[in-house]
Amino acid sequence: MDLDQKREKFTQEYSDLFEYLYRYVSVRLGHRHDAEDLVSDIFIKSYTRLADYEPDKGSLRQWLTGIAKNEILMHWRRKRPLVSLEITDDVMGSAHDPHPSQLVDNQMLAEKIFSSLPPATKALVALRYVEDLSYEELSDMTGKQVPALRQFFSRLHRALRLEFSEMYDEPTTL
Amino acid sequence: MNNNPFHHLIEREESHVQVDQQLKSRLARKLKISQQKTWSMKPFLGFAFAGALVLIIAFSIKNPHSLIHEGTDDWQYQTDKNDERVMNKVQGVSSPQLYNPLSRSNFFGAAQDSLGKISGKSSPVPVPSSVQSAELGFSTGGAKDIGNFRENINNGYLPLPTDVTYEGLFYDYSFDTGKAEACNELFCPSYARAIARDPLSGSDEYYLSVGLNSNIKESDFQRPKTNFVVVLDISGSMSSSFDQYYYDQFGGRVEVSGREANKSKMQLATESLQALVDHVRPDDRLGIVLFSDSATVAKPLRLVRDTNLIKLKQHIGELGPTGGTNMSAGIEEGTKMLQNREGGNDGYANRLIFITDAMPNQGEFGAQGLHGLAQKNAEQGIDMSFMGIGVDFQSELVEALTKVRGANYLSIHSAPEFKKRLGEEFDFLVTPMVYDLKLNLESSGFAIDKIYGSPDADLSSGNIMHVRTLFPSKTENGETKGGLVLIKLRKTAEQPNATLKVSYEDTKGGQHANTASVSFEKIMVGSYDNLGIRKGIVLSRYAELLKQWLSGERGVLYDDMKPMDNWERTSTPLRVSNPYQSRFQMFREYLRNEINAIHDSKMDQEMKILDKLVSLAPVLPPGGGPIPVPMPVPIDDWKNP
Repeated sequence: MDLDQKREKFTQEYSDLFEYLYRYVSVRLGHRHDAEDLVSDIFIKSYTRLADYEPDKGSLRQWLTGIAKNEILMHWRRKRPLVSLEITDDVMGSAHDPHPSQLVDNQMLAEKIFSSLPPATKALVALRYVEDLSYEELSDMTGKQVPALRQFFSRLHRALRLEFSEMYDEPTTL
Repeated sequence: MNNNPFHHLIEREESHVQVDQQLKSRLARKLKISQQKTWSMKPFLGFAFAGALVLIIAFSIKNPHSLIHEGTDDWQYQTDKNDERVMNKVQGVSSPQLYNPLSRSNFFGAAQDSLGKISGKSSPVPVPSSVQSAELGFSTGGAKDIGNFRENINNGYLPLPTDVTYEGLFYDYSFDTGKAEACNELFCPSYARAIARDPLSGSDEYYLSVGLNSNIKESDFQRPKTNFVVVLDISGSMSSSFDQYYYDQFGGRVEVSGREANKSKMQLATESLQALVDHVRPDDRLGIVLFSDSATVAKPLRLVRDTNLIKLKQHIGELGPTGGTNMSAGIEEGTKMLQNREGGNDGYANRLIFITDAMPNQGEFGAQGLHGLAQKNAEQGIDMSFMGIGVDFQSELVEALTKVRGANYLSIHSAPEFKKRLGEEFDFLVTPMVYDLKLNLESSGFAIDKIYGSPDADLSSGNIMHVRTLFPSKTENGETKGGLVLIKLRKTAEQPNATLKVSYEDTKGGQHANTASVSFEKIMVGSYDNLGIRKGIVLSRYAELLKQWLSGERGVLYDDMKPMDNWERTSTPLRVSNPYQSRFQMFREYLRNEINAIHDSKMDQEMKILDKLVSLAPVLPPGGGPIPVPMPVPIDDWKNP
């Protein structure tokens, strides 16, 4: 595939790629304005470096995701967004001592815990459990100490065990 | 790990993200790619070709010049890349003969009292529409951010108290204005009440917010045709890198190692000017004046559609810094260009846009003298915008200069960010729509104590609030960017009622008025009519605390240090003396609670600043006394007998 063909492919897929990447970056940064800047940068960079794209190794989407992931990590290191490692006690309380109605629908509890996290903290969760970053990498990005990060994820696990105990590999991943 | 619960939750989070379609289109245009899928276009190529042909013919009939010439390259400023004076950016050597096109006498020839009157300024066209579209609100003039404060903190420098402005901080946020019904006039204020306990003093404070609403639909807003004259600072101080001071703490120049250092202010300025060129329209006029020791016309005022913009951007990119900073010469030359323009009284609006670090040291550089020039321009219908560059941007001077009708300023941190901001706000930033807003509080129970969110607080006294200018501002999800002015009330008697009489002037000189009533009866401490006033209160308290801290620090420093004779700003390391360490700690807890209540994650940036300030080692108070120790926590040692 020559450069013109790659450009044509990029043009054809632009709309879908933009929407995918916008969502991907927004959730992993937790900050809309920063995400918009970064998405613009990623598209401009990738379009100017389109010659480097090797179709044999994967789709454009995969290639862009790789670039985006790198840019996200660099952004975190550069900007050090404020990340709260607190899970509010009332949410934790309901996890430890579930009301019978909550036991009926533990999915709601999981969602409640997740939705109580600030955007930057949700982003941290995405980076840990979707992007598989290590605690050391997260510590490098956020400036938080590894033990503090471990404690945060441990609390999160305990709270979520109710819903996901069967599929959960918590002890090995901590 | 693929089956872990977070995949599901994060996928759902992604699906809830609302994609910014405008950004998508802007980016597509920038990359010059079509968002249409090409496979779907093939069957229609014949029709598309025919349609395009019709459009080209129609366009060429309407604009006969557009297809046969690419516009005039009317750049007059000679940049010699090999000229030692131009290359010597670090030293900022004074070189008064550098400018070749016009003699020095021309620059200063026009006496202030010979300034001709410019009238017939055109007005924006707000046409009320029945079409469903987002309505705009308003924001006040003055500062449009506190970027310079943030940059100084980020880079470990002590900001100036004037780097923090209430209106600048408010414009960083959007506010629920409390608008309850459709607005039928150009300006429809809405009011909200609150009684809030101050986290530091513990006193209960009465507040009234004025929501800045309009009847203008975003889709109906049209910026008037405008004569833009950009006045670009190319003085030696523009050679320093963006995140460093040109002068160190003792007034010595900082040696900047040229291109290998971070991007210079000059680069940022020229890139920003190139970005600005993209936002003028074919029927605007654009002129460019450069100033250092003196001022010169680099590009005469000309219709944009007759100008070769590609060449213009190339010329801008070749500019380098040199010489001193004669800002008054820049103002005078820019004003002269607008006065002597072709077309005379043709209904165009007029705006001077300064891109500068605002450190004048030559010509007229007294605040009153420069303010006088700005004031005279405002009276003639020449509005001014300042775009400040660098951590050493002199906000103290520009704050004074923009206390005139129709003026505002913002700071530039990075070219991409500036481009983005221009894309979103350029038309709003250059289009004043309401003048001389006055609010008269008639009450035997309350008086105005303080105004937050307006640069014109000094004009307010007794029971009158005065705001010189309102600019249109974007409203999204019922919240208007900077759309609030907050009034702190002083209770004078047990009489809960007040009448609010508002008057203002539109751009055609028409006078308007309206009246409303509010009552604080049965309002409890800790109650807020809406989250907009709550956000306004916490932000104004935050800004007030920062200003007190900075004034305190600067007061201590000025005792030990002789300030420089002009506006050149010296660097001072970031420091926090007691009692502000403990005040910041207390305020941080309050801010955290308020952020949780208000649900505006953007406010986390203020938490981050307080975190940084609290983490600094405390500085000994004046006189070298011991640092006050926080009061120990009382012990509960009660023992049951």
